[in-house]
Amino acid sequence: MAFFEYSVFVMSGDIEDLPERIRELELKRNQLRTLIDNIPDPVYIKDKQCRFINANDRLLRIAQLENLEQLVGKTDRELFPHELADSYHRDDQAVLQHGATISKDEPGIDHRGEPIVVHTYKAPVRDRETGEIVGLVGIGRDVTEITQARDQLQRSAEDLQQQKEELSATLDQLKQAQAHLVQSEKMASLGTLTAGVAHEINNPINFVYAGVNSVLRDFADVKQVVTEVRNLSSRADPAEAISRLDQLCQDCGFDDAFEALEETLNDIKFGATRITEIVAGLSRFSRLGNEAWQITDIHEDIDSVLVLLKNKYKTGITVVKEFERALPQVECFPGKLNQAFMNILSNAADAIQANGGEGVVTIATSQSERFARISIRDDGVGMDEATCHRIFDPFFTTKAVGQGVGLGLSITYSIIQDHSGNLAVESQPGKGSEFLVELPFKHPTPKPKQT
Amino acid sequence: MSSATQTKKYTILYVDDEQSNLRVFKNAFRRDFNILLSPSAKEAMELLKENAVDLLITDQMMPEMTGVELLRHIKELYPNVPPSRVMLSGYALPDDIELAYSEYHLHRFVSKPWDEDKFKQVILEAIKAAER
Ligand SMILES: Nc1ncnc2c1ncn2[C@@H]1O[C@H](COP(=O)(O)OP(=O)(O)OP(=O)(O)O)[C@@H](O)[C@H]1O
Ligand SMILES: [Mg+2]
Repeated sequence: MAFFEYSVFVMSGDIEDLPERIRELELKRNQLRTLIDNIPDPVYIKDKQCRFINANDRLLRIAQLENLEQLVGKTDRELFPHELADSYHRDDQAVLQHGATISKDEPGIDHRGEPIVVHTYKAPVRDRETGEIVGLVGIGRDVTEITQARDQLQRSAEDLQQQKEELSATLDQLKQAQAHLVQSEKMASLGTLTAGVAHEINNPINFVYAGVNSVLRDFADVKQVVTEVRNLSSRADPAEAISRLDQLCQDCGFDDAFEALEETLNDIKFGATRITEIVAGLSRFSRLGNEAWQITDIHEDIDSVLVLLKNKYKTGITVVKEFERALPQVECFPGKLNQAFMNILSNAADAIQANGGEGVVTIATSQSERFARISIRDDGVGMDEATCHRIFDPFFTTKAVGQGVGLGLSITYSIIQDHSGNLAVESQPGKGSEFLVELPFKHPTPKPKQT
Repeated sequence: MSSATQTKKYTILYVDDEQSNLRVFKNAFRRDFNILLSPSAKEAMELLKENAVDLLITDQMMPEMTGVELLRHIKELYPNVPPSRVMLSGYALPDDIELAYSEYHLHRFVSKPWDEDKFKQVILEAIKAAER
C-alpha cells in the first residue's frame, strides 16, 4: 500500500501540530471516502498482482461483500465468473506490464448477478519517484441501457436504410414496368399500324408497279405503229402502205394498247397520290412522344386513323361519318389524340367482329361552348355494367390472349386527361356501345405535363 | 403475236374491290388470257353462273365479303368448278390463308404488289395443276 501513505504530508508539518494535522487528514480522508463511495459506478484499485487493495461501496455490492476488508487481497477470479475474470485479468496485465490504458465496453454483472454491459476504464498507477508501475485504478460504468438504446438505434437506422433501398428498388421496378407498358402498347399499335399500312400501301404500289410494266408493253405496241406511220411518206405505194398499217394495228392490238396506256397512266398517278397520302397520314399519326400543342382539324385526324385501320375496317363494317361541318379546330397533341381515337375505333371494330362481323360504326362530331364532342358508336357486342366499370383498368380485357392486352382504354383515358377532356361510355349488351370524347378547344393553362 | 391468238385462251376471273387493280391486271394479261373482272364477291358469283372459268383470282380484303369467304361460297355452290383458285392480297392474316389452303382449294397465295412474269408463271401453274 505504499502509494496510499500520507507520510510526505505528515513529515512536512510541525511536530506540535501533529494531532491537529491528523484530524485534518482524517477529515479529508473521510471526505474522499464519502466521495468515492457515492460515485454510482464501481471504482477500485489493484496492486501489481491484480489484487484488490481498495474499492468503493458500489464494487462491494457487486462483489456481494459486506466490507472492504473482505475484498482486500482478493482477485477477480475469486469474485466473478471465470470467463469474465479471465478477460479482466488480461486487460489488467496489459495495464500493469505495458502501461496501457483500457477504455472499452465489455460484459459484466450487476449487484443482482444479472449480466450487463460495462464500460471499463483502467489506467496504471505509478510510483511518484521512480515512475514504476505499482498498480492500477479502474472504474466500470453500467452502459447496458445506453448500449441497448444505441443498438436499437443502429438497428432502426439499418431498417430504415433497408426500407429506403427496398423503396427505391420498388420505384425502379415500377418505372421499368411503366416504360414496359407504354412500350408494349406502342408495339401493339405498331402491329395494328403495320397491318393497316401494309394493306393500304400495297394496293396503290400494285397500281404503280404492275402499271409501269403494262405501260412499257403497251408503249412497245404503239411504237411499232408510230414507226410505221413515220415511214408512210417514203413508201412507194401509199394505198398498200395504209392497208399494211391497218393490218399492223390489228396484229399488235393498237387500239387496246392505246386505250390501256391512258387508263394505266391514270391508275399510276392515282396510286402515287394515294401512297403520298398514306405516308402523310402515317407521319401525322406517328408524332407521338414529345410533341407540342398544335391546332388541328379533328376530322382530318379521324380520317387518317381510319386509313390506318383500313384492314380492320374493310370487311363487314360500314363507317358512317356525321361530322359537324363548322366544328372549330382543337388545340391538342395530335399524335396522342390519334392514338386515343385509334384505340376506341379499334375496339369498335373488335366489338362488331365479336358480334358476327357485320355492323355500323358511327362517328359523330358536335360542339358545345367550350368543347368539341366526338361520339364513336358501334352496334357490336356491347358490355354489361360490370364490364363497363372496369374497361379503363389497365390490363382489363375480355379478349383472347394475343387479341388484346387490355391497355388500349387505360391509355386512351390518360391521353384524354392530358387534354383536360372527358371520356364517357354507354353500352348495352347485345346492342352496342358509345364512347363520347369531349375536348376543350383551347388547352387550359398551366399546360399538362408532357411525357 | 399471231400465235397467241391461235392457241386456246384460258379464261380468268379476277375479283378485287379496287378498280385500278382490276384495270392494271387486265392490261397486263389481256394479251395472254380472256379476262373477266368483278369489283365484288357477289358479282363474281353471278359471273360464275354464266361463264366457264379456268382460274379464279381474288383479293382477300374486300368490303362485304372477303376472298376466303368467296372461296367458301364457291366451294359450297360448285363443289367441282372452277377447279383452280389463286388468292391475292396486300395483307392477310396467316390463319385465313391456312384455312383457304386446307379447305377451299386455294392453289397459291400471292402478295401485292405482284411481278408480272412471276404472276404469269403462278397463273399457268395453277391452271395446269387443275387440268391434271
Ligand atoms: N366498343 C366496345 N364494345 C364492347 N366492349 C368493349 C368496347 N371497347 C372496349 N370494350 C371492352 O373493354 C375491354 C378493354 O378494352 P381495351 O381497349 O382497354 O383493351 P383491349 O381492347 O382488350 O386490348 P388492347 O390493349 O389491345 O386495346 C375490352 O377487352 C372489351 O371487353
Ligand atoms: Mg383495345
